[in-house]
Amino acid sequence: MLSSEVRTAAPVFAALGDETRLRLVLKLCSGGRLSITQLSERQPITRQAVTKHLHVLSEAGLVTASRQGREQVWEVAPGKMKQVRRWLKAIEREWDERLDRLKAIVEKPE
Amino acid sequence: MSILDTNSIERSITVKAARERVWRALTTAEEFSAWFQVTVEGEFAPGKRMDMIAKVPGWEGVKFWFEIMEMTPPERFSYRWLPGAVIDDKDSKTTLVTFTLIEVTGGTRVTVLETGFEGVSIEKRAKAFQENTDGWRDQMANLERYLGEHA
Repeated sequence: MLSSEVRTAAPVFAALGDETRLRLVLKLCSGGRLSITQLSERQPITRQAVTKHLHVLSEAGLVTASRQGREQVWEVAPGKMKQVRRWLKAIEREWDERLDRLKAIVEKPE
Repeated sequence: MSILDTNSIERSITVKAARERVWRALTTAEEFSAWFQVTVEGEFAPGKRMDMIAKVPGWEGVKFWFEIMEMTPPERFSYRWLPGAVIDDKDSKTTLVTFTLIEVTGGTRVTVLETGFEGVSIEKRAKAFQENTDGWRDQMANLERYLGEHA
């Protein structure tokens, strides 16, 4: 992973580090394009709060808005989610290397 | 792809060794040093903070620590730490690393679960990367190559 990629990943993780925003992203993942009204359904927070959270997610590049008729609809930006996974893959790789070394040590005859 | 799994990592490996043998490698300073590629001294005990110096290529000489949370031989060993390059960051929350050893035919299943990435300040980690450009260059090249091959 390049340091530029780590820099890019930073705001993504910050944006996802909030329960409400994570819920909104999950809802968009399963629901496709949704309006603010649809996203505010069964949420314990106001439409205004949902809008605010969507803008945080949008700034991190996780969701995008477009117009559908007279309504504004939101959807996930899949490219960004791939970056998040890739970033974690680098940490997974570190663990795999450690576990391989552990295996070599415990399987060595004493 | 689930979004929830951005907060934790789980890796497993099966080794041809008894649980007691693996337990010793996990919880004694000498053996831990060898496979974790660090310098660490002293006895492992719950609640104890262990100071270490990295020996992994690209990280040599970097000081870090972890605090042991649980030691239930020969089943479970856990500690908290600041992963990767956020070792000097006072605002980041620690992640919890838990090793679980399960007896399987012919050996032991070793599982490592790291949880709590949502509390880690990734911005600080990014900054650490920038400040150590020289030291990181090789590690970055390795990672880049790996990611290129496994994308």
